[in-house]
Amino acid sequence: MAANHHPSTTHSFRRACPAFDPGKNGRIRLLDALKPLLALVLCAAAGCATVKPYEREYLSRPSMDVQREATEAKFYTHVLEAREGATGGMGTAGGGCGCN
Amino acid sequence: MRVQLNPTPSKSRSLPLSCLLAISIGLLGVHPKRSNADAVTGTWTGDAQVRGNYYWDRSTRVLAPEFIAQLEAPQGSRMRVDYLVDAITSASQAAGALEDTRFTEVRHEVDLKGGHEFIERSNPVDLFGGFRFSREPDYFSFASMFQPTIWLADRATMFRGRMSYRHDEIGQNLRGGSQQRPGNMGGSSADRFRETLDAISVAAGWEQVLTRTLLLEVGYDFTYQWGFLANPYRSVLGGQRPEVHPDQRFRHLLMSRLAWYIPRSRTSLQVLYRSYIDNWKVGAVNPEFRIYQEMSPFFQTRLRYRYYTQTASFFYKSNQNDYTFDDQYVSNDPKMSAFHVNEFGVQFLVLGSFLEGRAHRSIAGAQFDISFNYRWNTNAFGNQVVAQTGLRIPF
Repeated sequence: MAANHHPSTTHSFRRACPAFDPGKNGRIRLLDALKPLLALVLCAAAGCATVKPYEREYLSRPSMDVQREATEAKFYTHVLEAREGATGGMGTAGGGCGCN
Repeated sequence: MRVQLNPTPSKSRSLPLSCLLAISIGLLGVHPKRSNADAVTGTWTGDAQVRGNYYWDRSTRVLAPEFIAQLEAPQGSRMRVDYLVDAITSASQAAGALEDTRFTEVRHEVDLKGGHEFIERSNPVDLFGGFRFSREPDYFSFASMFQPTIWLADRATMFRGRMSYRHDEIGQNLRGGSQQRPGNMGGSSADRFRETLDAISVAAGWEQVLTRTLLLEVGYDFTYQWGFLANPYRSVLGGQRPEVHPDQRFRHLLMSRLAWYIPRSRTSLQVLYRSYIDNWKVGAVNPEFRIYQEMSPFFQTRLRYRYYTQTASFFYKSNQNDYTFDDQYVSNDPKMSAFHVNEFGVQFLVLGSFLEGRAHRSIAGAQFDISFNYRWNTNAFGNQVVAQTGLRIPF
């Protein structure tokens, strides 16, 4: 901790990276920088559009339900794993086979 | 329930008040419990599905009928059994044909899965997992999977994880020719060629209700594979060297999906995007566009366009004769080359609800789908067809 309080080090460090200033003002500046991102994440996580369950009629349509196509996607994922270099992201894993 | 905000100025004042309220309500569990008709009546529900899957390219044809049964208990437990038979007809060297000979091989695959949804909690949690077994004459695969899910804010937000482990045992079953192993490594197909391949995969996903008609999904997949990652039948230099791939592979994938429902036209537009990279220097991007159109309350069509492009692995050479006996890794795998795919697909979905009042409720609740996809592929596999059909009957 002594190094952090060395005047020359602290002074140049504050000048270089004000957001990471270990002093009280520095901590606040770091949080200020993160606030917009934090707000966006927390709002999205809490559903800040506040769509009530009874307002989700359209989201319950068959075309909006990915899980409904999970069985169809299983064989299709198997084809992609045997014919393409990328794998994953399909929500379901294909079976291992000698078709590599 | 009234939420008391602490008057700590600089932090809470900066966050939108409505967001803070929504978070507080969600975390404190004030939202109502989801009603469960099954729990009230004590009725078991489920469904049975039969599916037909078909794949074709210039050297391989696959017919794969599939049977699925699901059962859900009143308390929220559910079970699922999936049985698939893969009948593979191939003249491909990669499948074991040493000469121009066509053969058919059968693969059996069984999935056993179960789970329970804890809906009594303020934030419902679902735990789901299971096993998969796959066997064919020269290949055995065992996989296990565990998938926890949690919903927040009245199910407006969903976080899902998935962890899986797979163990494969790879043999060799040569057909035609002199029955010599590729690369003339000595011995015949009767010799016990046995290799293993293991894989661990972890994934995380986030789904968010944005508006009454807009849904967003983001996910990340990581897979680590180790063991025999080549094909025991492929070779280079005119059969003088068997295929040799690195024995470890680290694979990363990011995916996202945006789904938008247009009530006026009863249309759903979806944009999907996958971005992939691994330590073999294979990189890929994969955008996809889907249009779902409700033609009537019980008839829906889906059109999709998918584009896929990838780079070659660091050890792949387009001319097999450019390899030498000093190369550590050699490959004759078209999946290791740089190529792209343009794919078009169409699906028709028919719901049995038009028979409501005129047929048994299981028939009225049935669902039939049929799809056809054509892939214009620029690598050695050539163009491909994937067709599927399915009938789902609830009970």
